[in-house]
Amino acid sequence: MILSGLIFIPMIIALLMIVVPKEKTAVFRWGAILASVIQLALVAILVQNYDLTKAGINEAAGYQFVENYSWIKVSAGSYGILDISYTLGIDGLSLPMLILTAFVGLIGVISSFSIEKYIKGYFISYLILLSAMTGVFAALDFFLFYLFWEMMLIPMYFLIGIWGGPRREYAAIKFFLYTFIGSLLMLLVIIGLYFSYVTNPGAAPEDMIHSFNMITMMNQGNLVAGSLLSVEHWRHVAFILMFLGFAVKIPMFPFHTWLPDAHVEAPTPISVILAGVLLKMGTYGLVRVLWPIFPESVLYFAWLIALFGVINILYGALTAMGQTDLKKLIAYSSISHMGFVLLGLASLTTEGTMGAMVQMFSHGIISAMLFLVVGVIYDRAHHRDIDGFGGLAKQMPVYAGITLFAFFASLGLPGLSGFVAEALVFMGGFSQPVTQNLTIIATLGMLITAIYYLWTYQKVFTGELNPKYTGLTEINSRELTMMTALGVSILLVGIYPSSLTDLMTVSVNHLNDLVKSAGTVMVGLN
Amino acid sequence: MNLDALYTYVLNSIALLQPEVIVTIGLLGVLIIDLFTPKSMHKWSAGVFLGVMVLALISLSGQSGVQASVFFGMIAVDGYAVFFKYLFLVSAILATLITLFSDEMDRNGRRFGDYFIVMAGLVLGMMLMAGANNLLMMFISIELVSLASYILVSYLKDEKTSNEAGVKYIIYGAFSSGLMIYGISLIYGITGTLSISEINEVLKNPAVVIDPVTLTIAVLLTLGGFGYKIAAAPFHFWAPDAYEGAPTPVAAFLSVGPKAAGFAMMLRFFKTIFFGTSTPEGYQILDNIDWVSILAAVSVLTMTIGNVTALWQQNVKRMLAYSSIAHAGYILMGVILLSDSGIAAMMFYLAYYLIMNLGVFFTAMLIADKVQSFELDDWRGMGFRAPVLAIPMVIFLASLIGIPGTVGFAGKFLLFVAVLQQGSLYFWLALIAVANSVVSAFYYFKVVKMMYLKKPVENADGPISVSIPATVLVFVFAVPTIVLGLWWQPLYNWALASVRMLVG
Repeated sequence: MILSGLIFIPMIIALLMIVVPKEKTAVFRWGAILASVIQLALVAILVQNYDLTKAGINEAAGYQFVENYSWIKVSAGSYGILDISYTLGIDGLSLPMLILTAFVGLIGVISSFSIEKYIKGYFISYLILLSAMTGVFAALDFFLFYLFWEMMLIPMYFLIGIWGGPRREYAAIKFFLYTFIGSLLMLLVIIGLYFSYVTNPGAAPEDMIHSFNMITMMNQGNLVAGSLLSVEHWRHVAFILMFLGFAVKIPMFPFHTWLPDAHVEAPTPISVILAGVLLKMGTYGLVRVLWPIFPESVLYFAWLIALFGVINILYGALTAMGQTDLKKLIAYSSISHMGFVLLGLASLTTEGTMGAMVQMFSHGIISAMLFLVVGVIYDRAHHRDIDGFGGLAKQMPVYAGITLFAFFASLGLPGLSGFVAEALVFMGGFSQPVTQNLTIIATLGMLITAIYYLWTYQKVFTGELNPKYTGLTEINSRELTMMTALGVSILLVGIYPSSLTDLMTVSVNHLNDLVKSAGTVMVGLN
Repeated sequence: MNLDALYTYVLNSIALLQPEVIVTIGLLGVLIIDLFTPKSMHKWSAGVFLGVMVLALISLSGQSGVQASVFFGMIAVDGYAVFFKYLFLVSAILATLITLFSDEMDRNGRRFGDYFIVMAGLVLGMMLMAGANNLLMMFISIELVSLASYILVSYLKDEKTSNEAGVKYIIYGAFSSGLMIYGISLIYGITGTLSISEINEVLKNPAVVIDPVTLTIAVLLTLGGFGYKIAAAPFHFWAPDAYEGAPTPVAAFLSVGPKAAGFAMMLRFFKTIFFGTSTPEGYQILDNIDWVSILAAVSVLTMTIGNVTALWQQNVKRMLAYSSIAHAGYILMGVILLSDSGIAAMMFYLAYYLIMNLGVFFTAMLIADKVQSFELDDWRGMGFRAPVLAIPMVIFLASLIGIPGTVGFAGKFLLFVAVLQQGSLYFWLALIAVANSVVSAFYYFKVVKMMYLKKPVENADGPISVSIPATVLVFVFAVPTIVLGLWWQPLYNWALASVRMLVG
């Protein structure tokens, strides 16, 4: 029940909020805090009771805190049985994501205290979004996964569209349509998978239980002979379609164009959620479903995925260098950093995959911090033009220090979490012939990242203080609290990575073994 | 057959048509009661009508499992027909409730009696359409529905738009009827019979040689009649005008009831005539004509024209008319598959479409009654002026798009399941439907954008109050849109069980 609680408590609180009159702003604010704190407490219980020796991935028994109830079961005569279940469970891939969601979710709520307009609607949307994201990271039934995946669309549309910046309408519908088309492609593949895998292979057609359970689909013994996805080229087609669905969310070049718009227009807390958690849904989808279900396609396309990863890294970094809007710069740096996840995953080594997983977590907290940093200055100066400041370090020394810390974290300074992730990705990528050359090129990305961050810092904080900004107030205690929490986490993962990697080691190794062994066996299928 | 046996046979036939008989008596009952009640009590006719519909529902519930042919093969009473009759009665009840909340109908100041008499005729026609097993019976029932629809569309006789809508509807209708009856006459000429199961026998008989060209032409012409009823391209031109001009409750009803009846009849026609012994994998096509490709083309054309044209619309009612054309295109995907799961998905979709589409029309009607306009521009800021209407509106629109957790998704999901069940054969069709869904998301969300992302109109009066009964009825539609969207096992089971039609 603990996972259900984790998922649905924000939603239940959101539903209760509907009956509260909209003037009672404190109820909404503290209600959201309550929901987030409960989530964080439940996650702490999960971590406490988590068994580090269990792998999960394609073994049903390896999942923990499992909940499994039959949801929809229809016997369609000679077509077999349609079986949808409410299945939740976590392993080493999902636990860090749940920690991230609950943590960044709470930071987002605190940051949302600065929202002044339509507070009731805002927090209701926010909490539904939080439920949906948590659900994605805990669902083991594909139908349920898809439900949560799409559930965040409408709240996100409103959060960007109502509370966003000047071009919010455009950004909101763009986000909506991009994600929607990606997820519909994914839906087609989900249905294809559903026809091709059964829980009882070898049974008579009318007794075959076609299940949406992901674990069933990860075990190739469950493949129905002669079904659509037992044909190699259709498997590749399915892989590509589903990959596109996830690629939009990551976002992978050339499907990234919604991200700068959404980030720039979204209010600060929503940017935090977007970069901190939402983007990770895409890469989480890769490791959760795509890698174990289509191992042979992963091996087949590994070089291409790595190539796109490197394009992401370089393209994101180069574009970031050209930005004058601070928020847009960070949006593009997000694209660049998510490229490391792709590169790491494509290497299919322990280091690479682990690096990718750490990067997902680390980028989650670093980008949350970066967007908060932008939010602080935007709240005070009401613009984000990098060239429009100057010498702010004199006026806001604490803020300048925090910004420097966040920038260093993002550019991969040793001792901070970003370095751990990127170093692991490079180690993994370099060790494999497929990704070796690409990895060498990718290191350029770190260099460019360092350049644009240092330049930006120089322009905004050093030099003579711009006389326009002598009245700016120093960072306040609410902002400082959030920054400190994030900063400490970045430092913790940076100095003592095992605190994070220990949760994942067994699962990550199992995933790599699975992809390599199953993928090699399956090449030449049909 | 001697006279006694004939007498018993007719009585038995009538007994099996009990729900239809009840509706007929109800039609006359409303007529008589309306004659003898004072004008101040004219809304009573709605009560009588509702009572009749409920009685018919009760009588219908006694027909589960019946598989019979009545009146010498004219009408079939089978699970398939019963399923649709439930849909018609439920949609008639809901449409009546919507009518009672309509300002438009109130302002009109006329007695309600004639409205419900015609409505009863329409319901009767639809029920006959679902069971018609004979080309002549099909034609008569389709005409009954059409005539009743013409009257309802032009019911607001003092309003120009309503009259215009009626005239356009009649002209298109007469044209399609002409096509259809011509097609029927050709089919009769070729096969020598009007009973669709006998036509099937003739086609199966290898001794009979039939000219495929004539047959194709005949069936294409007949398809014109069906296409008109379900508003499939290229017979959809009447729909936007008729829906826009008709009173909103009528437009809402036309978009679900007669459309479902058209689908019911079309499928019975194709399945019984052209497809021999059914196999689990689908139905065998008897002659060499590629019906599947023709219908697939119609499906693609219908959904694409509906969705793309809807993009330009600035009037919500007109946009919903195009949206209902697009949905006919989606539903046609289930028809062309000619598989049990395709038919079940079609029936399922029609049932769920009924909930969400009546809901969206009703909510739109309430909003339009408040701001006196269906123009999108006048709906600005509605989300903050009338949240009790705007939130359900978002739910209905999300459902029409097919966002998971709504009935629209469940319907679309099962259609996709049915399509992909054929392996890679119709994969392209699924991709086109996906592209269409994305297009539709754009225009449906235009309404959401107006309601939530735009500031209210300058001289707007601020918050809008909505009466409690109207709010309750909105939620009668909105709650099932979500609950049934998450829990669709019973209805799907029922649809699967009702797929088998009576043949012969």
